[in-house]
Amino acid sequence: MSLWHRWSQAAAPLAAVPAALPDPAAIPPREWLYGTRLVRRFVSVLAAPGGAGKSAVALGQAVALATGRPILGETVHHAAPAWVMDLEDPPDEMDRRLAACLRLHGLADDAVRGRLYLHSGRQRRVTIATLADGMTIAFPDRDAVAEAASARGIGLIVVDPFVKSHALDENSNPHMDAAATAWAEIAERAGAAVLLVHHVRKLSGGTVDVEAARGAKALTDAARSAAVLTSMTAEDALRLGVAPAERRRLVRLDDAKSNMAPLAEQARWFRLVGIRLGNGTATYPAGDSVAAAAPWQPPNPFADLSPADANRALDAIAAGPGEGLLYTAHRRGAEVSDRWAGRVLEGFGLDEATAARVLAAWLRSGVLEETEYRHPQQRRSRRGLKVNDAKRPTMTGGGEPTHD
Amino acid sequence: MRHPTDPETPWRAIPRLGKLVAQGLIGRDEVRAALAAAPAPGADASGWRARREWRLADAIAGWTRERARAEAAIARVLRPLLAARAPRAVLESATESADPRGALRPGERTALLHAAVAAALAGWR
Repeated sequence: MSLWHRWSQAAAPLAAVPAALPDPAAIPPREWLYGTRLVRRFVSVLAAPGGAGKSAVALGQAVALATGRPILGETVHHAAPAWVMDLEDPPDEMDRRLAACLRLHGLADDAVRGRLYLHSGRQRRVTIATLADGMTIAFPDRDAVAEAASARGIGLIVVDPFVKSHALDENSNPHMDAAATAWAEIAERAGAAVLLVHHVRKLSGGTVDVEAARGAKALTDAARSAAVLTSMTAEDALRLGVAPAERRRLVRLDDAKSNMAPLAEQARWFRLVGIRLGNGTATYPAGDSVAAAAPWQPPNPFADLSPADANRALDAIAAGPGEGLLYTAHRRGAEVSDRWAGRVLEGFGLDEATAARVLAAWLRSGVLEETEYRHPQQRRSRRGLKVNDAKRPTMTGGGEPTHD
Repeated sequence: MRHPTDPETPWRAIPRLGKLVAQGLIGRDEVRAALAAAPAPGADASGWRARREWRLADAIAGWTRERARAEAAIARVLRPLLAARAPRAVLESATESADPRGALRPGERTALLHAAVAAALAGWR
């Protein structure tokens, strides 16, 4: 859109226009490209603390879109060329990351040839917004980026990191709004989705959310969707039965605009896999190992529990640990540890973490319910578990019970 | 003031050459060399050199002042028009009128107008 076109729009008379009320079926749908994260003509934000693998995940999304293959487990609605602007690293590093991604997912170079474009900020800086005279915001590269993207039919522009694409004050809402709006204008003019990769700081406890986004909140407010990428916490690792060494390679992607993050079992997880490029030399015989992202599913806690055993375990839980006693859902405190229902499951060969996950799943699905009962010896009210038989694992035609 | 023996054609060209120097289209030394090479039969060489140097310096300084005045005038005349969101034709006409002597090159006037429009659009976000 030329300067004069924008001026004519801005200078046009302002009138209140009555709602047109078109037939809903005739309204064009949003042009989703990738999952529910990337949509044409809109800006999305991927926020993460340092070292969480945001560049690997963003590149994985770009490769998925360029090839039309859901290599990260999310739906590719419409394959489109992608343009990755790495504004920090040299071209060599981008080549390494791309090679690792292609090797991990078994993709040949031809899968992305002519459909994936790379730009290194080390070779040519990209400044979408800056202060021209200390007061006025100018947009030096906005038109050039939009025109270059249009010329190549780009469907996704990855800006990694967003902070390197402008020279404005990160703590100023008007400044961040201007920079985000400039990228939104590029998205509109090029008909592309724009993914701004943004650095966030860790809160105490290692958790992050959109409120922790470094700088002004106007950026995430301006985005159509915002996602936060975080490393697996020790708590989630314990919950999912993941070894400490392994958990550092696992990251989860959550909707940053949602107030409630999903449980660990329901989150979208990625594993950062170190890929050897085989580029060793006499000086560096081992060559490079570069991280690439792959989808990861938490282990299924029911994998080692047959449906028949599950029903037998539920029978034992329903019977309780003793006359008039009920098992508990929690293992806190020495007094209740023997009455923890997980002990029953451990009798069927499950380890403690897996037993806890099975109990949590049964509590969520209503197979188990917590109830108040009167403890026969202590003569006071306690909480214990009862089995909802109506929600037990169902029987299939073959007579074997199955889990929901 | 021109001495009767000074060559008339170079003398009359000096203000125009000063304008081109002020606009950055040719270099001052280039002009000086051209004037020195111009035929000046019967002129007192020393006097002619001094007079043409002063005339060239005055011309360049004058056009430099005129260019600054034109820049300021364009900014001043555009400010209320941009605030009123005037159409493109009005803005272009006002920009031309603010520089009646053409001290700025056409491309310079256009660049000033574009910068002012871009700044106004940025200010409205």
